[in-house]
Amino acid sequence: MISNNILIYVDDLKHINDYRKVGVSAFLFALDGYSVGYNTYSLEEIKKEEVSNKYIMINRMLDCNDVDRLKEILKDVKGIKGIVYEDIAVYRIALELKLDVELIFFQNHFGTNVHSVNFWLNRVNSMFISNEITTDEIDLITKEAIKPVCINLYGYNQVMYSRRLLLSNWSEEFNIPYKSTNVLEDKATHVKFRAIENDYGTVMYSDKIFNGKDLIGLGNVKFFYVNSMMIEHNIVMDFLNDIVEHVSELEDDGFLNRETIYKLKERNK
Amino acid sequence: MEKLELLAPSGDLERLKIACLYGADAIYIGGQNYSLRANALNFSINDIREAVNFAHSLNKKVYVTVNIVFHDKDLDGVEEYLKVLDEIGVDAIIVSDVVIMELWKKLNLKLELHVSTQASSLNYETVRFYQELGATRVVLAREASKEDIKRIKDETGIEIECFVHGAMCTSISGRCVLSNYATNRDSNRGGCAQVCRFVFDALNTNQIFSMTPKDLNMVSNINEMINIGVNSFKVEGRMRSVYYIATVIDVYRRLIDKVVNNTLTDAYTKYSLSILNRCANRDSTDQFFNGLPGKNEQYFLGRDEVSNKDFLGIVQSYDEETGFVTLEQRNYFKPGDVVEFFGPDMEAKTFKIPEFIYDEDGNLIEVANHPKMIVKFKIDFKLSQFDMMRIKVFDISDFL
Repeated sequence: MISNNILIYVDDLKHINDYRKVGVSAFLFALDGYSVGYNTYSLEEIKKEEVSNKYIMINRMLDCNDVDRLKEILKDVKGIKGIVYEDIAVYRIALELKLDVELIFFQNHFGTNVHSVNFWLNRVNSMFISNEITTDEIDLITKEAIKPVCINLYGYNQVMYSRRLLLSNWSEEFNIPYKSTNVLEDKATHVKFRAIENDYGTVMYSDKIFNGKDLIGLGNVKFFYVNSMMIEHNIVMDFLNDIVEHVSELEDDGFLNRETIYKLKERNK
Repeated sequence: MEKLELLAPSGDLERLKIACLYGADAIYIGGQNYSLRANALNFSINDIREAVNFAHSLNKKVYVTVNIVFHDKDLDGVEEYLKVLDEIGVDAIIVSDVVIMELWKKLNLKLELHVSTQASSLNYETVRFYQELGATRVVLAREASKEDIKRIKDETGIEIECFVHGAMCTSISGRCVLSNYATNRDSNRGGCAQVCRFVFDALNTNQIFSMTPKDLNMVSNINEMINIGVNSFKVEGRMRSVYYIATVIDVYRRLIDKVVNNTLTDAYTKYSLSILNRCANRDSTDQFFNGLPGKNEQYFLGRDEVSNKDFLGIVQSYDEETGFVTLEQRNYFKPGDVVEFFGPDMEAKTFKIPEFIYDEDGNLIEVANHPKMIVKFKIDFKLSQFDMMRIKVFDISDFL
């Protein structure tokens, strides 16, 4: 039986029972119209699912009309345990509507230092920390965080979010049949990215599945996040069944043991 | 009408001075740490002090970017750095990470807090959040439409800064770490390798994939931007050349002034667009201002970014008694070439290079063909230091 603080993204409603069977008890559903890079569900569909600990994801950067509409939509979030969100507006809407839900801030690529994480933890229930920091940095943040944080444990890492419809534009330009996903390989570095598009933009994910199995023992963690998006169900289940053993050639450990640089002279040291 | 600000980038003191002289009201610069152009020359503390003194002497402002996303170890020394910026008299810091916003508050600094475009602000609630933290200005995400800009201004009253010219990120700024994954260079700490400008293979097809956006160019929308409440008009490009900065700032200065004075004509707008298009090495569009950009707002095929040779020289001095100009050459020219001079205090003036031109030692030369060589010749109108000479391509009369 796996740790009970796994939060899993539900890529297909049919998979929920399988996740429950292996002990997963918190489920993340991307909200239709307000999420990018994920398969989405309407609030009604999410409410119908008979599971406890349902969290909804709102990960778009919101424009003013989106904010107006969300103020209406979120008035009724009965049965929803929490909201995982990227735009600060959601936090303000939740305060304004006095929503009785957990707020989990998922600001991709931010959450890279103790002070910033604690700034948000003073305001919300939890916060995701960045995918692009090392094990030592994660260790420091979890030790110093004033509340339990959320950590990416498994899945393709989000690498880029554009408001542009990059796959549509490309297929239109070259008269290629449209597909909402594609795998792109940089000609120079041969690094691949997985692109997925909906009406609200294009998200690129890493091509290697991030496997943070070494993080599973960390304390002060509210949720370890498993992002099942674009991963075959049996692979996700293999991971969940065998968390500490399984590292396949499809996977890597991201930046856990590889510090990024930003001044080129550092590369030559 | 609220005060309008033309905000220029500068990568070093020379470019800062050029930007000031050519009409910028404020200049944003990066220090040698904590700034998103980690591999640019950037400004030392002494440079920042000199920049502030120079700009303030002309009643202009200096903003310093402290806009990386901080890892814990990056925070070493930042508190002291902020205090020094405050003591020097920097007018504002441009920030994306809340850790710096908290420090700004804790240290009770005099300088203003501006929220960087890296914070991806696109709606009034997000902007209000930063406003309540003490920010006096928000640099909106480049994805903001004119409707959003107006609504945000109307709802918050905060100072709104928008980009008007220069390169675009493919992603929403701050929401991209392509560079980290492709090159191990950290996008959000100033190491961006511009991977979105690379060429990709789309697997399972025989077609390359590109997502490079064309540049931003808001010349045709300046009037509307002013009307919807934009306060600061920002030009991108802290790593751009003096010629680029002079040309772009000169064009936008005149445009803004003409809008304010109600003297802007369609012909002048078209003329300005043509000048800017010659200066840049990419095509440009108004991107998100009038709606979602489509395929025409980006590039799809590999292409070379070749700079033209329009920039011929920069004036070092002008002798009113002899009528001789001394300039530093930047590209090849020779007697008989038709050129034009432009500068902060003059409309562009056409001129034919005279038969007799001289080198630094007064020797007669046939061509000016060495980069940065000093060239002298007689000219029949007054010039000033930092005026520039370029190839004559357009005339305002071409657009009437």
